[in-house]
Amino acid sequence: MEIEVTPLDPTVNCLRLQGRLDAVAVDRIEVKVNASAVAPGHDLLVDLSAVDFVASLGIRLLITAARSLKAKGARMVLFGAQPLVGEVLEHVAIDQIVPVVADETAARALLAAA
Amino acid sequence: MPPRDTSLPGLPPGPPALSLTLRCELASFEIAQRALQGLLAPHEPSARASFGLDVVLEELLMNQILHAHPSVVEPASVTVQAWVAGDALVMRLADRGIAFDPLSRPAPVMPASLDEARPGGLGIHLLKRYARDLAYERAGDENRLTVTLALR
Repeated sequence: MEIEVTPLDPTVNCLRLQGRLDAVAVDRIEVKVNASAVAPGHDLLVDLSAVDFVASLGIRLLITAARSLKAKGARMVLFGAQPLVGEVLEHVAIDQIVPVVADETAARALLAAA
Repeated sequence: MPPRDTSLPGLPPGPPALSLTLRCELASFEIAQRALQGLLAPHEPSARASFGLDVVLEELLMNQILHAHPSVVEPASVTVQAWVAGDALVMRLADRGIAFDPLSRPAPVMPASLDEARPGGLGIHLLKRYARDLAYERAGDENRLTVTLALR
């Protein structure tokens, strides 16, 4: 699993994940995600378009990061999930607690509108 | 609907097509995944079935690593037998960890907000969603869980 955090503007970062977000990957990237992507005052868009697998530990990582962001006054939006990954997100109803949208444009629009 | 099956499917007529003894540690994921996907490949599973196998495998092994053997210092082990029966993959896991029937766990209550969300508790839920049937029995000091997955 590759991860990259890039600033989109002064108040929004984008976390791009690539590969399998499985238990092995979570073990390897969890600290890095929380250290680099969870920044005070910076909302976070999470690009899932290159993620081809996720299960409960990957979901846990996303929820933990979303909670940390909220505690720092920031928000998370997930976008771009492939169909099978999107199915897992639906099974755990993550959209009830973290916005899930189709693409980056929709994610940025959602932040701008809120 | 979550799968419910109280009876254990029978073993295949011959030896199982695949039999693995795995240490309960993260490194076992790749070993198990390669072996089981290799068993499945000639049967041309759908992309969803292949994905579902990986989900189920991860949830089962994480349960072994995190919960099944709380008093064991060295990594414990779990035996996995698998075979294809008609349009399904059957996996039978056996371990000598604490008694644990995943079918007895209630469905999680999905949080209404981030404040209510608590990490964890989703693994069994996903296991039930992706398995076609699940059957559990405690035989002596052994947990036996049989998971059936549709190939398509």
